[in-house]
Amino acid sequence: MSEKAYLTAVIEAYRQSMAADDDVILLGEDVQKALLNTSIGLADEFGEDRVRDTPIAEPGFTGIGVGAAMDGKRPIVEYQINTIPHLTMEQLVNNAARIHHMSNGQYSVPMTVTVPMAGSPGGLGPQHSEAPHAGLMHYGMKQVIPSTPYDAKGLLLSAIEDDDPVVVYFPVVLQGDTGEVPDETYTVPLGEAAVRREGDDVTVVAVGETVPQATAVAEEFEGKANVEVIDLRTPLPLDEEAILNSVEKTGRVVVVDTGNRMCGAAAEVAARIANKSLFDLDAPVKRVTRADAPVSYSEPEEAEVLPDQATISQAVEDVLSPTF
Amino acid sequence: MSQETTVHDHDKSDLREMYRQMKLTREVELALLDLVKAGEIPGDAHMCNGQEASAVGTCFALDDDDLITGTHRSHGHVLAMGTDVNELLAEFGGKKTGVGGGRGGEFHLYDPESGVFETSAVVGASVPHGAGAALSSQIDDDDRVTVAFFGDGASNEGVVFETLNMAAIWDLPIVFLCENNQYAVSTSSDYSVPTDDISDRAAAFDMPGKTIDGQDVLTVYDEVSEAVAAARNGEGPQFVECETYRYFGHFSAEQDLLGDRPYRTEEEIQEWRENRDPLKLFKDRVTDAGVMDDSEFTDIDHAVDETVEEAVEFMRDSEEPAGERALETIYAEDNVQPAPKYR
Repeated sequence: MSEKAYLTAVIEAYRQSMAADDDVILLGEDVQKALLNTSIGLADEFGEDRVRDTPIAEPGFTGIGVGAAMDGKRPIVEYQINTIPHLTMEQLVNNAARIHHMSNGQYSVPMTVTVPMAGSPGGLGPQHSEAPHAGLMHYGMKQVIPSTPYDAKGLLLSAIEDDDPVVVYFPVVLQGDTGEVPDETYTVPLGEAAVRREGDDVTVVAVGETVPQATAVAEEFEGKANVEVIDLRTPLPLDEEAILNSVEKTGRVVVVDTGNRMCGAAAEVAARIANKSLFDLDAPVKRVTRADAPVSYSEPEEAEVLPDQATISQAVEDVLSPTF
Repeated sequence: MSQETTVHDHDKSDLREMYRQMKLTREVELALLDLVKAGEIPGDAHMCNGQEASAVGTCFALDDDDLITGTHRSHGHVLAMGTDVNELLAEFGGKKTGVGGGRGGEFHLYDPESGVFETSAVVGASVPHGAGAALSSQIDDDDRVTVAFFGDGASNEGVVFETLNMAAIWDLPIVFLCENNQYAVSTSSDYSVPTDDISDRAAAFDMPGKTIDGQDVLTVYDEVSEAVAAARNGEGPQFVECETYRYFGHFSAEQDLLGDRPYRTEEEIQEWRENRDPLKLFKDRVTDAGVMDDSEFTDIDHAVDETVEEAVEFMRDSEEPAGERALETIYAEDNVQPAPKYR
């Protein structure tokens, strides 16, 4: 066990998965030179056959990943940036996420798509700042957004071992964070949320880069209210039980997501709470999400759109003193 | 051009089998069309009547372990690979006994035991999957070749161009088998493809490409055998375009949609049916060579009719799945519980 950066944990997971299983291969743009650092040294260690640079042809190499996965490989398909799923929806949704069903279980697609430039890195403007996980959740694709270095490694290793296609996002703003990360391999199961901080007054459900923001808010409220922070970890599989158990205890909930509000992951969580926990609630469910607006290059406009600590703090205040 | 074989170069049993598979494809599809018209099955028919030779000639050129990926028009491909005809009909019927348990229907077919990696309803979508299987073969050095069938319409899809490119730079053991049946629904390939032949595009990827008569099953067999051998031999991807023709509409409801706005003439269809029909051409060639006589063909015809009738009965006698099965076998792992439509 040692203190490692989030990105270091990701690098370890890539390397250890390839070392443990010859069927793990890596496809993506600039992976041999490791532009995003995730695949540093892998081409040398495992060969260019298994660590394959692709042309800029995302639907094509995603489809090739799907085919290789159907044939027994466990491809990691790396997308450089968060908007690549827009290009590859056909291969992800209509193929990767459908083939097990369409073939009546005769084929599986154990492919892991990784998105190292995930979240809103800052200053990248409208076409490189999306959080596409809710769109893929809508179509039933497993979505993973680790918020800690420990989870980055353990969840990625779970995703690679999972026999279904999984998309794993590594929010850029978290990649320098450090934490305890075991040297050996370990997995964090998909579908289990984590309680980052216990409390019995307010529940904040958060994911990805909003988890540290939510935790900071919980610290802010120390002495005034005990805020429980639930890290979704995997928006799909969604750990409904963990959310409802917390709401039962607190009766007040703020749902935070990095994606858009309309049909977002937070909307799904809020709907489930309304459906199953209405009589536990002492305040309306509040959501803090990205505004339903594109992310501008302009810094003030970008800040206006993205969820942040101040807005989560306001939301916690509001559920503590609700107006109906 | 490859070394052309004559009828006499083939075992009679192979010739009989080629004919049987083409005839089976034709009759299975005609039975499917009847079932669609009668409202006896859930979906439509995307028929390859007229294209039987490219399917049978190609699949005959493959080894047992080789794979194919197909399209929305793949009944001929899967039958030529050996998919059980009863299970195929049951799949058309959406029955539990279908090759995909009734989940995929006529154009999402998966039959790993027969080397049917996939047929996909989305134009061009299965082509990269074939290349993925070929990538896997290359890494494992397993001597297997994958044939990716696609049509003239798919030849214009971006994902197909991307796949051709990656297959070429990586020297993947794959044969791109373009069945140019002249029309993507109503859009002719003369209009949608700027080059004389679709195979001309292979040159852009430094890939051997050829256009062949897709109506002559022995020509297809010869030419595809050569391409498969080259791919197996480490010479990289190969491109073969079969010139062919579909007798029926893009799908069985096409006429209802098009009404009085035809995109081809009856004369054109008749011209292909009379002068370039793959079954007729084959029969003429084999009888002219004195290898088989009419009565031998008639015997096969009768046997095929019987097989198809039995398959239709098998489909009719098979059970539909319970609706509740819909929430099962969506994920390979049990860590997601799919929600029902109400709770």
